[in-house]
Amino acid sequence: MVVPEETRLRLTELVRTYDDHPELRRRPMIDEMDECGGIPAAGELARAADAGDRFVAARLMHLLPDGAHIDPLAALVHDPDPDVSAAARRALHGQRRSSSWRALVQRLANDSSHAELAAAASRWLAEGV
Amino acid sequence: MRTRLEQQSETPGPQAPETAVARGAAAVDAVLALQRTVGNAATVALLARQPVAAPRAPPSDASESWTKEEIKAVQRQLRRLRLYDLLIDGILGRFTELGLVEAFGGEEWRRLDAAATTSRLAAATRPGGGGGRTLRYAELFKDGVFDVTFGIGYKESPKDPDEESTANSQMAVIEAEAVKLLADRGFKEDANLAAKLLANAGRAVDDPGYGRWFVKENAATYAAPAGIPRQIHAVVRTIRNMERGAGGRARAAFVEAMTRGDAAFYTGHGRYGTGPDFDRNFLQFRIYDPPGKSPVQTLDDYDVLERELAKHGNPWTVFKKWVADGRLEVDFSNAGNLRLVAATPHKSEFGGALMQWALEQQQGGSAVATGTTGDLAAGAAVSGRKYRLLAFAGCRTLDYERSLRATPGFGAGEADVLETTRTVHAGYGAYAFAAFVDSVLGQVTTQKLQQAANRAMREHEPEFSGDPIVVTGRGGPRS
Repeated sequence: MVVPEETRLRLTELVRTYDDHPELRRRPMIDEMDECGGIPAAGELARAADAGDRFVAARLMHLLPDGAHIDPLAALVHDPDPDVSAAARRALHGQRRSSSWRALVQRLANDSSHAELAAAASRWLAEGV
Repeated sequence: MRTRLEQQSETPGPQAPETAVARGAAAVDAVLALQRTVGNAATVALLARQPVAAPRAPPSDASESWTKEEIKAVQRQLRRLRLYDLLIDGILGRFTELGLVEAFGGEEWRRLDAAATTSRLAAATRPGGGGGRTLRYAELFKDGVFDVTFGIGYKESPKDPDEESTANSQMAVIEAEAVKLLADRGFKEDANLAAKLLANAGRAVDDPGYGRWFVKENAATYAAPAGIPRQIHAVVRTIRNMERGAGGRARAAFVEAMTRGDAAFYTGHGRYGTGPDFDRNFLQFRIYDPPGKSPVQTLDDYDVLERELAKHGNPWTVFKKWVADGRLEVDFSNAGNLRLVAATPHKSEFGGALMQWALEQQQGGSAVATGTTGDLAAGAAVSGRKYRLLAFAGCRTLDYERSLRATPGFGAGEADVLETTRTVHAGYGAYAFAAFVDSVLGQVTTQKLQQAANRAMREHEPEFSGDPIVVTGRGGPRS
């Protein structure tokens, strides 16, 4: 699936407005992201060459948690662009804790080659226990 | 339910300043006023954290011997200078005194006999500068130093809400913008010189090691109509929290600026009309299903939480039920909240209701700083100040107006306040602050200050609309 240009632009605009205005009433913006197809679009944008598109993907995954995001987030948390990887880590933290989420986060926690992410993943697993 | 990371500190930082407030009779009056408003116990508690040097002897006040007819002559001259617009009644009351302070640029007239005072006033010419009220520049500049604190509230990053401590945090970006704008205006970072200038002016700072200090010597020339022109030094302090859940230190420094300083300027969240905030409020929402097991989801954004809760009914109703049932745990920090308003006027919004809920948790909730018994009244009473200038460049900060004005020391004649009428984008804060500093040092009218702040916002706020910045208060005399 290719994200239509009009949809990509609208989602990008919604994410930017959302992030710029923390004290606006923002739930309608999230609803519109969903209605625009934000969940499937996030998966597509996560594979885009442009880091700006990948950042939008990570933000959509954070704002619209969904089981479909786990696989793309496994790659995005290691994105070479630091803004994208940071947003992706935040998004992964906020996903529903399914068995696939737990498997991925456990794997990240054991990955000593990325010490900072491993520490964060370990903290996530220990939260609220 | 988990609690905030840090109990809200009511006590300023531990460092004692080298110098202290010493205002003689004014300080004594202030203590008496404080005792009337907050009681002896609170007065003693507050004074205990205010290192005070030996008081100066009160100046002799020749004005006490002025006759009624002499005062009428003084009032006529003040009226001619447009520094007094009430009855010529021969009473040396508050507004006549205010006019005299503005005419002489300080308290010099108190040492003059009536003839000398009238003569000086008669020789004075009314300054130009356009219409509208001025700020009370004589009060701001009377000790030769204008000090202003730039308080940078918490601003979240979309990629990492825990970034307070990093050099790339949103607060660091705003501070860097402000520092550059100050440098463009000739300010230099120099904490030692700032301390020296403040000490010479008899100003105390409780936690001088906190924040950054910038100075511009001889930043302005102040010439009151009947006064002697003099140079004014400007001192700017920037403060921002850099530690998760530790906003109490920034809050204390900002309260000090609001009460003891000439001016305090805040940029950051309005917190749904409840007050400035120097750290992140909501750290984490953990959803359990069933309670007692590991969480099934951890969220860090309350708009996302609202949407999640809406799947189960009215979000606020579900929130309260889940918290009560142990299905939802909230980690939050109120340490940095300077609660100016007891009840948010935006409780119909999920975020507003959540903010109110958080402020009401633990030990009766976060103390409200406004009103006759709050921190602000107490601090203002012992400050000896008669006037202060405040700015709140956050979302819908006009919501603060009523509570602030009901606070002793912050009435319309005692404080001019810059506020906003709508939600705003935080990116303009440093630019509005620079316009604020320029306006004060340029001694413009309140109308021009308001225009300059709105212009800065128009130039730097994405999707700017309208002129949301207003200046409230009675200001000083007409110019």
